[in-house]
Amino acid sequence: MRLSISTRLIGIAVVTTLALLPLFGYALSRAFLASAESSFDRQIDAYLLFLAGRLDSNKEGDIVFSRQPGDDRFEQLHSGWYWQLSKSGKVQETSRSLWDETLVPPQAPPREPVALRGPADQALRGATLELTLGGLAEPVNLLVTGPRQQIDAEVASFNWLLVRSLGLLGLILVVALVAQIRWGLAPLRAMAEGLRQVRSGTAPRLDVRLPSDLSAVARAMNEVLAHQEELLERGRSVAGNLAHALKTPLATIRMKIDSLEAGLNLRADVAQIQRIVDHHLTLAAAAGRASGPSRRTALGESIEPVLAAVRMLHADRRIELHAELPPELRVAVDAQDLQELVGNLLDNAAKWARTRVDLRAARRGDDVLLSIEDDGPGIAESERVQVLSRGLRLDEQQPGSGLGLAIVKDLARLYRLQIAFERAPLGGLGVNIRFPGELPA
Amino acid sequence: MRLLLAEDDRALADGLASVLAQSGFTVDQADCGLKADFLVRTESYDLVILDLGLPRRDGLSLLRDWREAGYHQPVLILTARSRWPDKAAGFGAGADDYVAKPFEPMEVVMRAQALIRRSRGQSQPLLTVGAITVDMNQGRVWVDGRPVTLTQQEYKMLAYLMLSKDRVVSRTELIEHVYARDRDPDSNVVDVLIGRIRRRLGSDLIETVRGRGFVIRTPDAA
Repeated sequence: MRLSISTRLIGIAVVTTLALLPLFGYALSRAFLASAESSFDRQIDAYLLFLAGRLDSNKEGDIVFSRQPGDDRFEQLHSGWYWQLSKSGKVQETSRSLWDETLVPPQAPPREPVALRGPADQALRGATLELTLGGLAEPVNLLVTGPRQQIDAEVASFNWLLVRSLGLLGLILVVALVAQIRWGLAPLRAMAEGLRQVRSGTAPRLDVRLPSDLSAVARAMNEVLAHQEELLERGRSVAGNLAHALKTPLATIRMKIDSLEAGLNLRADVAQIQRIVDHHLTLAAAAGRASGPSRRTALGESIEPVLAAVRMLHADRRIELHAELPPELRVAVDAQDLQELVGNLLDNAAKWARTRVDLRAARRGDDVLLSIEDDGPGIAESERVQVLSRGLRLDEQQPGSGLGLAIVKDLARLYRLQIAFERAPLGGLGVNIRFPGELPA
Repeated sequence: MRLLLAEDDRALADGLASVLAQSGFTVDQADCGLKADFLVRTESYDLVILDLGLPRRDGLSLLRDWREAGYHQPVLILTARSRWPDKAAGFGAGADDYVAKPFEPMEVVMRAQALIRRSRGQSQPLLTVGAITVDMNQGRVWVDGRPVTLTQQEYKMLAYLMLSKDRVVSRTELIEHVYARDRDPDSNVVDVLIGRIRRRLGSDLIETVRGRGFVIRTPDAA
């Protein structure tokens, strides 16, 4: 089971509270019962000794009390507070409260509490004492009882209080524990949010302003991120240097073969080598960035310099280049790769355009849609589908590197961008690129 | 037209220089950043072709320094860095054009010519003043529609005066833009060449301005 840490902690806290509090309550209730019974028993015992002390026998051999306990409860009918004096199993005297009834003396050791039944099946608790009085051959038996109900009522009211206070305590404990856990785990949630931001590119690094135990983890994670970037950067610069180093001798070869007879074929070979070098250069430059933590690149800010470059490169042709780039739009593509992608498409559009190229970006739900249109001859519908799959055939008809669309294809695949070709309202080719919005969590 | 080719690869630089020379350019070469910087600051070029990966001083920072110092001649970047971020950075630093290696040598020539024309406010390759027409791309000259053959030096001088029309050009400036740095001809050579051009064109289009130099004036402005 993959429960969240806070669920686990809250679970443990709730189970502990719910199991321990009743146990605690039960023990308390037992202790109170024992204490109530013992206090009751001491009362009974006190009456027993009081009565025993005032017991005497007259000359006729009858048993008399020199004084009766001055407690009203022994006068009240069926109050449960009874005493009874018996000799040889015969009842001699009873308290007024018993009226004309008698109790069955229980078999129990003297002065030990015992439960018995009184009139109307009343639950009683009492104790007996056997006395041998001077002048009497047989011992007399004294029994004192009190109503069991008195203990039960006390215990019940105590239990009720106990349940209420323990319930309240449990509630407070659970709320406090939940609060403690949520507050205690808040930094973890903050860190998870930080990682999500790093992944989606809104933050370059994890915020290390966390409690000391977590900030060490965050710092370690940042080091891993930095190390990963460093490795990518190194690989990229090695690939870049290699590709760039190859190009100067390639340019020299191209220059020299112009004077050779077989020059035309060799030129195609040189172009092929150049295509391969550029393809791998693009892949090396983009691959790490496309799969690593992405960046939220400001669309307009990144494309502006490319627009300026395309305007300069086509300055002789007097092409109007219109751009509508809302400044708040951001896409999850590395800035350099975005420049490469848009640069190639714009350059291509400017090459074919007669007078005008339009570049527009807009939000479509979560996605960002970028469209590039020209008023050139366009591409026949039958060929449009094949532009990207075949890569460069169509692209080669214009002078220049002849690589633009192949690189566009590479980048689109790496970043999973959707590219569609259509007939532009201006008449030429329209290219629509859809940049996906939020990354899947 | 005199240009500086700052490229450290010997074979490439020599090959490109000879193609440029065949197309009527006077070419100086620099094989490192410091030399390129020195030449740009001391000599007068119509165009600089700049490799970005120069030893000792990289091309991009050179270009930025030149532009900050107010250097306004066209600069064409010639580099192995063909990605758009590099191109954008190149133009951002003040380049006027950008050619990625490997390139068609003739493409560099065409772009160099176009840049020089543009820097003179002239976007068409055909330049006509009075009866004289010069095709800056092909290095050909016509008088009243009749082709005229000029030597390399004569053509360079005529083309420079045509591009600088209505402005008096001194003998020193003409020498600077027609001859490479390592050749320092007598200023009489200019007068001899001008005389030959006048004879071949059969026209008095080139005026001598006493004590200052030469000028080609458009007929309306005359």
